[in-house]
Amino acid sequence: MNLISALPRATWLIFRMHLATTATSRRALAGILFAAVAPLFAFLAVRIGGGDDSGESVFMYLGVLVLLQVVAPALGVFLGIGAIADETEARTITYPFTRPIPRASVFLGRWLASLLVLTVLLLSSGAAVGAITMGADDPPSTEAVQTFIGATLIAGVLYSLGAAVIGVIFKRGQVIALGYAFAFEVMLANIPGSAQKLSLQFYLRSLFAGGDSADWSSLEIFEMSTFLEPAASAERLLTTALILLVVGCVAVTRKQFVLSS
Amino acid sequence: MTSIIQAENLGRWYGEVVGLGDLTVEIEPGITGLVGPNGAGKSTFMKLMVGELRPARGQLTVLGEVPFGNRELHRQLGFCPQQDALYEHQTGRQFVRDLLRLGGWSRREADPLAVRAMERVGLEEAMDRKVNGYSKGMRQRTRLAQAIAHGPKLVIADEPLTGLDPIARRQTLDLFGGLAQDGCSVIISSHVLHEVESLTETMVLIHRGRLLAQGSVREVRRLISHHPSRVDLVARDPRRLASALLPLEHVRSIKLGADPGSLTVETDDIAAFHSSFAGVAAAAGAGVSGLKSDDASLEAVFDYLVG
Repeated sequence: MNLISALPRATWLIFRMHLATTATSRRALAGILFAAVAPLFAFLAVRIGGGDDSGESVFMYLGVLVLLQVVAPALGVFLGIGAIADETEARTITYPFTRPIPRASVFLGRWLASLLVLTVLLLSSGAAVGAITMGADDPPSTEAVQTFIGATLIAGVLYSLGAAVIGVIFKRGQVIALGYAFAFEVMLANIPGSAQKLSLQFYLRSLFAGGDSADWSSLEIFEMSTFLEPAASAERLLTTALILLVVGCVAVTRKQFVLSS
Repeated sequence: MTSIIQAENLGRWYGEVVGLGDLTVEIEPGITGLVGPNGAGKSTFMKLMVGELRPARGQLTVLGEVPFGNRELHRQLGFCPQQDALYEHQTGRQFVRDLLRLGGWSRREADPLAVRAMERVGLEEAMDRKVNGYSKGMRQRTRLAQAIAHGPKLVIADEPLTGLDPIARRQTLDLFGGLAQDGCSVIISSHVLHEVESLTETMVLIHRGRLLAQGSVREVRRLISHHPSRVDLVARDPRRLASALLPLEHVRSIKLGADPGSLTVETDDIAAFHSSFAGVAAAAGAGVSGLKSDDASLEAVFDYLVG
């Protein structure tokens, strides 16, 4: 079986082997709690906050400040970093690596298992925030909610993929990935000027706030920003994801994983 | 006969630590014992053989192929690692079956092969239980099952007898014998010489990452026979005991220890020492209160051999 035909099969097998474990892992259980934060805040703001804010503004603020800027990167890092790092830590990586499969399939299969769990968590969290705020006065439009949730899911793909790659390359990758997501990204994304374009957040925000999405310009943190057209932004994000995928596959293929006995 | 393993000036470091120094060795088909004390480089050599690591220097071929990332070679290899790691959420049967599937077998083909492998290692009754409930020996045998399930040409097993009870140890040795009869080559590592001795005549001795000796068990034994055995003694009057023991022909040296009453005897014939000791000690009336015989461990033998 050549590499091209062996890769999808082995990836599928690895994905299936690890899906249940990933879904019931401590990382995923912590992720459930984290994913519940945004809906909880939305509920408090809409039901208990006295109704001063419209459903739309609650959705926009919580969406950007909590879901997109905190929950998606945090869950992406926690779940993505484990793709290879967990297997190395458990010292089980010897088994797939001494099988006649492309090493890249281990990276892809395990990352995809993490991504599925992450997608379910982010989708549930985003949908819950949308549903709660749509039940309030002056609700957000269905289209705005859908577009925003789409952007959040794309954020999950990128942050988890980035974390998975970091987990392959570095021994203590979680610290590096968290540092990137919560120090570097947050700083760059929220300072005025073109430095924003160095962050993933800029392109993710462009997906829903770019073009003629006038509603989002009412957010104070967006006042100083000039976003890209959503299509151009999607193209850049796709390119980034492809580069990360290639880097991850090459790194796992070439790297020697030294395990203690 | 074509060598299954050819290593030439093979070296591998872990940062500043030498895992394997400069190993040149050829291993023929059949069963080979890779013997050396802890830290000798056995596991590093095995990880290089299965392609888990790349050599830092030198050349290595396994079944004529360079191992790192070699999928065709991995089809013909079975590796039983030393580390006690399994996919804890799975049953033994699922574990072996899923790894077989990664080897290209369909689900329908893989399941009976997994069952057969679990039977061969004596785990047929436990194979549908989760591996996280297995004993250390059962986990060891599960690791062995995944290494043999696909009928490899070469099985490489890193300390496969560690943690096994005497019955399981015997079964495992029989299993290796059976594999060899079926034409499969086996390389097993151990730091206990007599474990390997009961299985094969062919040994490779490594120490501090280098080849120390290679050949039959008899040749290795001959080297070891030159190694004096040590006996640690505690007596009320160690000087009187030393005076009584020193005239014995097989006693090579006696040293008084730092602890009160302690002394160490080096003898060329441990059996003769034990048979004569009781009489000599009683006659001397030195009040012997402790005796500990050196276990002729490989570490001691290797230390002796390398000076």
